Amino acid sequence: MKSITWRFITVLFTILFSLYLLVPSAIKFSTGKAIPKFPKDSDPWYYSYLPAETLQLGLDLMGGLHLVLGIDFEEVLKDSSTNLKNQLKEVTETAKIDGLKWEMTPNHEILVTFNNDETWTKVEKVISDSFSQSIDFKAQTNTTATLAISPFFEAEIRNRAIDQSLETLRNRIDEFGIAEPIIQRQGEEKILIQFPGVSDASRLKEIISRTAKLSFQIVRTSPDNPSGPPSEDELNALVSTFEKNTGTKLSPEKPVSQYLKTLNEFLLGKIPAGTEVLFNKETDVNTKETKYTPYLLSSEAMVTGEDLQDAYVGYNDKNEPIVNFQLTPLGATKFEKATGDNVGNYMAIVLDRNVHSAPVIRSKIGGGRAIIEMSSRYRNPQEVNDDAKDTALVLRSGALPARMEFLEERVIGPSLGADSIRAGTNSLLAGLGLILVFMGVYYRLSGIVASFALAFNGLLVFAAMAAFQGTLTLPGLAGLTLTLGMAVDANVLIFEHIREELRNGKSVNLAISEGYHRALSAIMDGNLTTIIAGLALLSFGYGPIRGFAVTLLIGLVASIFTAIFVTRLVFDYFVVSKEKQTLSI
Amino acid sequence: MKFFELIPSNTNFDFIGKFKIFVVLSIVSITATLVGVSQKGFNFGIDFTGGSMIQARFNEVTPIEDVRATLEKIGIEGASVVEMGASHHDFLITARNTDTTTNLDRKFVEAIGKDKLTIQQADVVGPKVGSELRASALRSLFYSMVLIMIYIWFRFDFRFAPGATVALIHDVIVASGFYLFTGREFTITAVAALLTIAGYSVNDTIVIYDRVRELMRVGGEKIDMKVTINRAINLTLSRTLLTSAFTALVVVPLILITEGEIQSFAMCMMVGLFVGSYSTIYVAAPMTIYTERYLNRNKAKAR
Repeated sequence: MKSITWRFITVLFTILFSLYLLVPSAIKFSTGKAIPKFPKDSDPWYYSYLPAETLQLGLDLMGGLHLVLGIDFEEVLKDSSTNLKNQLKEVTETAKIDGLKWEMTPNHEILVTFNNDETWTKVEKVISDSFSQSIDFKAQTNTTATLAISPFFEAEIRNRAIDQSLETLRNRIDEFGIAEPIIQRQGEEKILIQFPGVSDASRLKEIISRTAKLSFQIVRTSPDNPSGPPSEDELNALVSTFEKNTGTKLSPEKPVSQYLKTLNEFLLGKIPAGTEVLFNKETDVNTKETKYTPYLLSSEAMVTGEDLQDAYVGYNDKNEPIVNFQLTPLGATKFEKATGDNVGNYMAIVLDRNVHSAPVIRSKIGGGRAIIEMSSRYRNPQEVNDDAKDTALVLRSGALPARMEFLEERVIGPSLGADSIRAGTNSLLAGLGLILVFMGVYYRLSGIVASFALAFNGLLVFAAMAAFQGTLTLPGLAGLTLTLGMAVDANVLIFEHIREELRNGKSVNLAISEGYHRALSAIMDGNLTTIIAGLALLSFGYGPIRGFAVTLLIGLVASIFTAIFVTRLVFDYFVVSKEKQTLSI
Repeated sequence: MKFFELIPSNTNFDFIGKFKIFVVLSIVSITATLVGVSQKGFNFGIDFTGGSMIQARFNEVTPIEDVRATLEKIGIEGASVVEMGASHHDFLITARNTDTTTNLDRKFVEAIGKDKLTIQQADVVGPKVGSELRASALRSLFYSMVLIMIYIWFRFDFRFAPGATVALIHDVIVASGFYLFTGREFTITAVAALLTIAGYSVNDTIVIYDRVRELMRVGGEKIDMKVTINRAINLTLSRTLLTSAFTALVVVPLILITEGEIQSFAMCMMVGLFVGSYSTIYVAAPMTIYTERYLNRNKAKAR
């Protein structure tokens, strides 16, 4: 009976190995601490013999925050084409091609105006030499040409935008200090963030949603010069005409970017070229009223967040929190020159399209140091402090390529998670218990063997999930329960076939081998079709449902093993090899 | 040897003789569901429509009217408020047509008072995600059905494929009727239920087909399909009912112990178990006989 010995060893090994894989999970759930990948000397000696992989609980079971973010790609593309335009301008200037005018069209294409064909030929050469991958020709007249980002380059820009966002978000969340966050790409263009155990979303959302684009722009409002830019009153008048015409209004509830976009389109021609209108926003802590003040700014930034080296919280002489920052050496040089050229003008510090403050430039500023004040008079101290900390954090960890959109947001409280775990395990155990009883009544000893094979199946599912660091969710537990119910089917099929053979007067041994043999094709076909359905669910790939599909699939594969291989072994050992004449079935 | 049996082994019911009544019954129930879908429509969850959902537990007994009044006060229109359990503590608030910037949960907590309730769960799904999920749900349902059909074509005679396919579609439609007629929320979990039922339904059909295949191998091609199928149904009857019963055994605790989405899932599975067994006998089998007849007639014509 050598084959029985070998099969017995296989089954025993599988059981022991499954238990071994589950030990780390058991330790994690009882002590609350996972086994480290590289155990320290202070850890128990057996830690270095255990795998680090454990079962993961889904957010629906442990509570937490789940966010799906999208990126405003339009903004990214707009920035990229403006960048390209500037590069083209620079390159053609260096190549001494004169008589060119570079502009942006409203749909983010580059419009170049030239005086004769000869110039254009030169420009074309420059483009085909250095920009052939990134620029497509869109349209052309005698004196103008429209250029646009090529599809190839656009794909790259999108890809890079996601990567950069992931990187920036990781940095920010790392600095904020959250245990075991999940930050990953979801599909092509989305970002999935999960914070286990976090239930207060507001401040985290604030940190994530801030683009942290910093720029220093010169204020162009000049009340004295009638032919120059509009005065403050004129600016206010222009803004209220716009609001009346379009029926829009600035409010803290809505994203400002859309408002600013349509406003500046409306103001085109009414304000000098190369300027834009942005607002300073302040909220009164008592009345909760938000006041917006328009500023006319030069669109060109003196320095931007890219020139930033460090940012940290400090306090001014009134002991109010401020954000100090230090520019890179290159940024400091730029800053020194720009402030020198603009002594007496106001300089707006713009963070995420919001004018934070606009101090006057008294003299040339060297050393590349500057501060942002937090306008504390309108808010309570705690809020101002948090704001300063968060601002420094997001500035330090870098800007996002564009505004993040919250596509999906789920918060699950810890008590609900605990309820779900209880409900899930209870129904799993109740289901198993019921099956054991009924199988025992119906198929007697054979039924009990099959029930233990089922429990073994459950063990295999958990072990496999632990080994692959699978996530256990409530739908996953329901899926497992269901799999166990369906896995009985294999044994029912086999037992019914065996009974049939016995009724037909076959010997016990022959009935067993015939029964297994005849049931095999139906078991295989049935399981494979359910596996197909499971794979379709997996490809659907949506959070908790993924958990359901994974447990279903692992359970199906495991059930083929337990129902056919394990129960057969028991029969072969206790019945066939002993040449028993009766069978408890 | 004696066995404990609920269904005697030597049954010989004439299933096939009476199937016309059941064909009518199946057509009626499918039509009813489809008419219901077009007239009433599913109560889609926010996963599919976009919107906000809050599950709140109040510290004190709170009348449902107060919850509604608060929602009106913070300017949320057309929100549905459902009480969970009977303790007047737990409420489920669903507001569609809101987006991720609305911050319904934060406003609601502020309006009620932070120390008066705990937010058990708060979901906000943007409209973009909703339409994407809807599309991918339909896609995965469609693809799984096509793949299963191809598998059956491949594994069995093509005479069997139409029967299994029609049975599968029948089961998925009738099971989705559960969500339709109870008005329970149709969520992503419901899609999981329907897909599982699809797998289960085919599994059931396959077992009988497997028997038919076996009988045909023994009896040769000449035996009457009608008689063979009836024999196969009788032979597997015990197994068909037992497996459904055993699966029901695990589904019942789920229905009793869990609540919300998972409970709906379990209830839908229960419906699926029933129609799965039913369709094997009264949908797949007659369809196979019809297909056989149709093919024979064509063959005769060709001669």
